[in-house]
Amino acid sequence: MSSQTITSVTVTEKKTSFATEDDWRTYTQFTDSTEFPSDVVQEKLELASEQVKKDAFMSIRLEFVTKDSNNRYFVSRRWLANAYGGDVAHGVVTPRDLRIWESDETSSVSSAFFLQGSRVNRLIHSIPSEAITQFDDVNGYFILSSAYPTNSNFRIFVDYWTAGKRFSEIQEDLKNATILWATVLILTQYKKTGRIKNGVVSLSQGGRTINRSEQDFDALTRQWYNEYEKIVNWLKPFYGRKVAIGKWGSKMTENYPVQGKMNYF
Amino acid sequence: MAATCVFVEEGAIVTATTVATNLNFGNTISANLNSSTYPVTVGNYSKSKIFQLRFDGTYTAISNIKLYKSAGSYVTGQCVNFGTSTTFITPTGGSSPDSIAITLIPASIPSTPNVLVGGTSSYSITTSATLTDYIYLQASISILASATVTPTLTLCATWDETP
Repeated sequence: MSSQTITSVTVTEKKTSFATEDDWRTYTQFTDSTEFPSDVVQEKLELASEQVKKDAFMSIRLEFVTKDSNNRYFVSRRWLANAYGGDVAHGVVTPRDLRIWESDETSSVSSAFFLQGSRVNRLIHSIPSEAITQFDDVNGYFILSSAYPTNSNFRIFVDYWTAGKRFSEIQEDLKNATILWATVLILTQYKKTGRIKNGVVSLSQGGRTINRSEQDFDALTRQWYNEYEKIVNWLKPFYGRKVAIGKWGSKMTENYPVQGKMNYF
Repeated sequence: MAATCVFVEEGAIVTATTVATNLNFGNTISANLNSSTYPVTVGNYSKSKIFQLRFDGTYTAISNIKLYKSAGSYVTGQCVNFGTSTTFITPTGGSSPDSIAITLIPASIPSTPNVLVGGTSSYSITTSATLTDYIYLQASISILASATVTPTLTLCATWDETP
């Protein structure tokens, strides 16, 4: 018997933010790591990512889903996005971005009250994301392992986040929004801790006085904030109906400023 | 001269073949890729590696070809799936699992041949038809994995040769 071998290595990554420190330094040109230390930048990028998710995505809580003949549970929205919280891989949607619950409503009283919108006797238990055997973030469905739900009478509910646009399409905007908000956070901290130490904004020595213009500094911070707002305003999912003055817009043919032709998701 | 075996890797199209010196997994379709440049995000699959074994040299027949993981260990959340097919399908990856690489690659030498030719295990490779069927490999990196460089896996192909 003869043999031949070959080797294989895999590098895995789990991004804690939509932008890296290098992205931030390249965009802002704040390259001085003494003034802007790496640990501060990294911390603010992670915080900024959470803010971007809150501003740019829509969270949908405890949506009731049923499965089709292929055991696929479809949620009502397409274009799934990253969940709130740090334990997700930023920039790509994974099963960790779905929070799935099974609901124990097995008593007859509970079932009757459920139809009236009550939550009496409704106990929900988390289904681990490891139980998701297959999912599709574009079409918005997932398949559970045969172990779930643990009782066939249990209903399945899902928390998920939607971007309103294909997630792969908005990566650059998520990165830039994260950079901008991180800069706002850093400048705000810098102003509090470094710039106005003990409330001093003016120094006098030898008949000369140097005044720090806090208004100009605030205007600088505001400039980053405005750029951030511009991006998240575009990113935000639009759920509504646009109208032309005096009439409903044509659903299929007219173009609208935010999303192009109206469509049904 | 005895037979020599090389790993011939396909690219995005079947005619883009390269002799592979490694089978590193990544998030792009490329032979001999640098896995640090193309990391696989946790919760995803690598792009499939699709290759054939080609037997060069002087021999009468090659049979009983087996492929398995002979060394190296997985990190938590990692596994490498394996499959063979007579047809070439463009490599998949990301959130999509490969439709052919669906069984875990054996961690010891299998008792029967798992690399096929013409879709069957009863075959002989000769110098006029030197290639096996397409072999599909895909790394699955579940959300249990962390950001890391995985230990090196060694894949071993064995065969019986009629001189």
